[in-house]
Amino acid sequence: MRDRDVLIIGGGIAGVTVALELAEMGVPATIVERENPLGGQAGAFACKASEKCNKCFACVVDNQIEEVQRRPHITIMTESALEGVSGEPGQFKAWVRSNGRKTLLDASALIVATGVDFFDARQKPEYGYGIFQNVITAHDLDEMLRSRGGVFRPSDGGIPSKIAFFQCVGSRDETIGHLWCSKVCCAYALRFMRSIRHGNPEIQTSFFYIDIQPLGRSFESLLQSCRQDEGMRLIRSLPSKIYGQRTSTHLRMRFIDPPSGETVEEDFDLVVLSIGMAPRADAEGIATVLGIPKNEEGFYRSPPESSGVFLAGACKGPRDIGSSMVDAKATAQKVVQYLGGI
Amino acid sequence: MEPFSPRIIAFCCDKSGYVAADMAGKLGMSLPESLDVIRVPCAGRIDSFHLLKALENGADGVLIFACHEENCQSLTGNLMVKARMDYVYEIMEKIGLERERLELCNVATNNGAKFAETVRRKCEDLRRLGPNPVK
Amino acid sequence: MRSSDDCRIAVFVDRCGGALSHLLDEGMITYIRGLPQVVSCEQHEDLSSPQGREELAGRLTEGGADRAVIVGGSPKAYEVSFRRLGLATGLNPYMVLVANVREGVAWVIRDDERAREKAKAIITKKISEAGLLSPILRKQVEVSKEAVVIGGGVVGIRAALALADAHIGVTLLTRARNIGGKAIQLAHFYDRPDDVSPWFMEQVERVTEHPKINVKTSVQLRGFEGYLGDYRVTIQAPPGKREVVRGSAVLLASGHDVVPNTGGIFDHRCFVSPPRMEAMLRDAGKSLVNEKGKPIKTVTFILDLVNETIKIDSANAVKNALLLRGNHDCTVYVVCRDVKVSLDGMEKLYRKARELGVVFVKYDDPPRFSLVNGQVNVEVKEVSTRVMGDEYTLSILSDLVVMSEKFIPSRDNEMLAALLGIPLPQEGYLMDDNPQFTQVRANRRGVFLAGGCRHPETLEEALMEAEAAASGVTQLLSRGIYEYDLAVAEIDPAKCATCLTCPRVCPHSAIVVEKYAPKSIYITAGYGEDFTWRAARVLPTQCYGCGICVSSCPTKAITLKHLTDAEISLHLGI
Repeated sequence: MRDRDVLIIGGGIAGVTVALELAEMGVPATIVERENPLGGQAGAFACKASEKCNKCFACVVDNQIEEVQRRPHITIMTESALEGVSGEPGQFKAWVRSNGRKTLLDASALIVATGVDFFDARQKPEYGYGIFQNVITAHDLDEMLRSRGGVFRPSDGGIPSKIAFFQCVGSRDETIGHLWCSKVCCAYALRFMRSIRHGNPEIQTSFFYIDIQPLGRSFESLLQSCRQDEGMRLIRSLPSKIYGQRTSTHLRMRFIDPPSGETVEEDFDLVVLSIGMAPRADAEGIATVLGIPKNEEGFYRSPPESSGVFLAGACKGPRDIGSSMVDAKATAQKVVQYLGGI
Repeated sequence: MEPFSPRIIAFCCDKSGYVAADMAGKLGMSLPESLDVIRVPCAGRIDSFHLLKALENGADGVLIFACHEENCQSLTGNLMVKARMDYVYEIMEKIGLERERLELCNVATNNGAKFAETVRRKCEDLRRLGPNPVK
Repeated sequence: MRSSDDCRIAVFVDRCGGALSHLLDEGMITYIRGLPQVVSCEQHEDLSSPQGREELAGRLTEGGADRAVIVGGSPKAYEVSFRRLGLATGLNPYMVLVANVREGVAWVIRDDERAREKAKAIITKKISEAGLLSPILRKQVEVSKEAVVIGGGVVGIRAALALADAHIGVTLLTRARNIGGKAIQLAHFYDRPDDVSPWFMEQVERVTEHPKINVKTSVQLRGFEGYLGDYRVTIQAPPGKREVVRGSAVLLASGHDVVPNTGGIFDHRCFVSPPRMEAMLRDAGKSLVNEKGKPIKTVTFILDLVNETIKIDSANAVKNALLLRGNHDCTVYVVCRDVKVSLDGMEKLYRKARELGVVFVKYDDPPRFSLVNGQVNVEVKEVSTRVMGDEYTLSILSDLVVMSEKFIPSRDNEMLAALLGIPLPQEGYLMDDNPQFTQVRANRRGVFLAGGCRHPETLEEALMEAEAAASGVTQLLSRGIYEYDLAVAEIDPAKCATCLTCPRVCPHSAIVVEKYAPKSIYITAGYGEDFTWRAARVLPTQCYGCGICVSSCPTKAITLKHLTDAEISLHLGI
C-alpha cells in the first residue's frame, strides 16, 4: 500500500466523510478547508423535524464534524487553500497556504470535495431579494431556525402568518444558463413547511413549483403528509415576479390558481426563495490546477482512476447530504483500492 | 422575596439532548442554574424508577431530551422512554402530582435553541404550578 | 467492590484558553483541593489542544491517582482524546470524568456568583461520582478478511468486486440460477451513449473469474447467527446438502420485486412494460414493429400512476423517448404528474426531448384507457388547459403504451429481516431510513445494506450504495482485528430468569440466549436429564451500550458498565 497521506480538498460533509472512512481503514488524511469552521454549506442547516424526524440529515453533518475533529490520523487545516500541485500520480506534492505560510505536503492521492455555491438570489432581481425585507432565502431561514429556534419576519421580528416558498430559484432556468435541477429544493422546502407548521400550526404555507422532485426513500411519506396538511397548499404555478407595497411590508404575487385556472393575486408576509446549487465561482481554478474535466454545466467529472485524483460529493453535481455521504464512502473505497487494498 | 427557582432535572441522551445542551451554551443562550443535566447513553436507559426517584427527591420538574422519532440510533430508545413515562404519569395522577412536571422533548444535536426555549418554558410553567408538593 | 477510602482522584482544571479563568479562580482551586479523595489539583491553560494533552500525558497518574476528573468544557471535547491518552499512560480511560462548567455553566449563567455556586455543585457531584467508577477493559477480536454478500444482482456484484479488489474474500450467494438480477433488462444507459449489455456481461465475467470471489447459485437461506468477525450463514444449494458459509461481515443486496400490470385492458398487446420497451428498442432494426409486424408510430409513456416518488421509470421514459424520436421517427407522448429531472443531466435531456417534439402531458386526475380499433386511446386532462378556462381532455391514440410496473419490496424481505435480526418497517423495505445509519449500515454491527432491498434506485445510485456499503465492510475488516471497549451491557446469568425480554428489546440483535451451565451443577427437582440451564448473554462486539435492556430487565440482572444505576442515582439527589 502506498503509505503516504491522502489530501482532501474541502471540509464539507463529503470531505469530512471521506476522511473518516479512510481513517477507519488506516489511511491518514489531511483536510484543507478554506473557511473556519468545517462544515461547508450543510454545516449551517437547521433541523427540520416536525412530529418526527424528517430525515433532513442536518444533525448528521454536525455529528460528522464533531467526530472528525476527535480522530487521530486526520489533520485539519482550516482557513487554508490549495495553491499548486506537482508530481506523478501516487507521489503528489501539494502547496497549501495556511495562516499566511506556504506548506508543502506529500500525498499519494488527492480527493476533491469542494462542493458548491448556492445561487445568489440577487441575480433574480424580479424576486426582490435584498430589496424587500421580507423576501429571504432558504439559507436565511436555516440560520433563523438554527440560532433562534423559530421563523420571524425580518421587518418587525413578528411571527409570519402566511409564508410562500418559491421553488427552482437558480435552477432549471434558461435565462441564467442553469439548465439543471438542484434535486434537494422540493424536499427541503416541504420539510421546512412541516417543521414550521409543527411549531406554529397557525402559520399557513404555500409551495409554488413547476414539478415536485422526489428525494430519498422517505419522500413518499413526506409528500403524503404535506398533501393531507390543510395548512399547506401545493400550487403548480411559479409567479414570475414579486411585488412590494408602499403601505405595508407584505409581498404580493400573481399566479394561476390551479383548481379554477384563473389568475389570482395574493399577499404573503414572508417569502422564502428555494435557492439551488451551482458550481463554485472558483471551480475553474481548482479544475485547472488538478486537471479535472468539467461537464457542460460546469460541475466536475471524474478523472480516470489511474490519475490518483478522486472526486467526492456535490462538486460533481447537486446532491443531498445523504447522497454526498454515500458518494464519499464509495470514493473512499476507490481510494483504498488505488492505494493497493487493505 | 425571591421568586422560586424551579429545580429541573433534565435527562439528556448522549446522541441528541446533551449535544443540544452544549449548543445552547455555544449560542450564548441563558439557562437557569437550578437545571441539573444527567447524561445517559440513550433515552432507553431511563427507567421509570429514575423518573419517580427524581420527583420523590424533590425535583420540581423532570425533562427528558431524546432524539426525534425515527432518528434514535438505537431505534426504539425514545419510544421506550415514552412508554415508561405513561406508567409514571399514571402514578403521578394517583398521588396528585401535576402532569406538566414531567415532559419529553425531542431534539437533534443541532437543536440548541429548542433546548433553551424548552427549559425556559418549563421554568415558567413550574413557577405557575409552584414547588413540588412532595418536598 | 470499591471502598471510597481507596480512591485517589487527580483533578485537572482546564482554563480553556482563559474562558474559565474568572470561574476557576484560586478560591475554586482551594475548594477542590479540600474535597474528599482529591490528591492533586492542577491548572492547565488549554487541555483540548495537542500541547495541553501532551503535558497531561505524563501527569495523569501523578500522586498515585487511580482516577481523574477534568474540570472544563463539555466531555465531548475531551473524551475520545483522553481515552487514547489513558491507554498510553496506564490510567484506564474510563476512570476519567469531565465536569462541564463551560457549556454547562460559564456560557449559560450570567450572574458570576450563581455561576460559581453552580460550578461548585457540579464539581462536587462529579468527584463523588468518580468514586463509583470502575475500570473498563479494551478487548479485541480477530476478524478475518472474509465477507458474505447476499444477492447476485448488479449491486451484489459491484459490492463483491469492490471488496475483492480491496483484498477481501467474498462468498456471493444468490437464490437465482444465475447472477445478474434485473439489470439485464436495461438496454441503454440514460447518461451515456453506451449499451448496457457489454458493461453488464463484463461485470458478470469479472465476478465469476475473480480469484477472491466464490459464487454460489440457487441458494436458499436456512439460518443466520453470529457476530462481527464470525457470522455463520446456513445455506442449502443443489445437490442438497446444508453448508455453513462464514464471513466477518455481511452485505445484503437482495433487491426488490416488481408487480406486472395484468388484467383487463392491460393484457392487450398494445400495453408493454418498461423492460419490454427496453427489449424492443434493443432488438429493433430499422423499424419498430409490434408482435403482429405492424409498425409502431405513436408511443405513449404513462408515469406516476404507480411509483410516483421513484425516478427509475421517468429516467427510462425520457431516454427511450429520445431513441424513439431520433431512431424511429415515432410520435411520443410522456404522460406524468410531475416531470422528474432530479438526476444528473436529466434537465437537459428533458429539454432536448421537447425540442425534438416529444410531448409532455401533465395531469392531476389519472388518465383513462380504452381500446379503439386496435389502438389504445389514452384520455388525460392536461393541467395547463385549465388556464384557458376550458377544461378539455386530450385523446392520444397510441400504438404502444408503456405502463410502469409497481416496485414493491422483495417478497423475501420479511424472511430476511427475521433471519438477520434487522427491523422491517411498515413500508416493507429493509431498514428504516434512519439518518444515523446513512443508508448503507444496518443496526446490527457488521451487517450492511445496499440497493433495491432498501429502496428502488436508478442504476447509478444503487451502484454508489454498493461501493459505500463495501467501504463499510472494508473499514471493519481492514486491520484484521476489531477493537472495542467493554462499555457495554453485562448480564449476570445467576439472576437471569430467561424471560426473553432483553433479546426482544435489543435493537441491535446483540443478545443471545445460550446454555449457561450443564445441569449437573444445579440439582433441580422435577426436571429431566436433558435440562440445560440457559441465560441471556450480551455479545460485546455487537452491543452499542444504549442501556435499553438494562432498564427493561425485570430482575435487574443487567448492568451497563459505563453508567450504572448508582451513578445515575447520585445525580438524582438534590
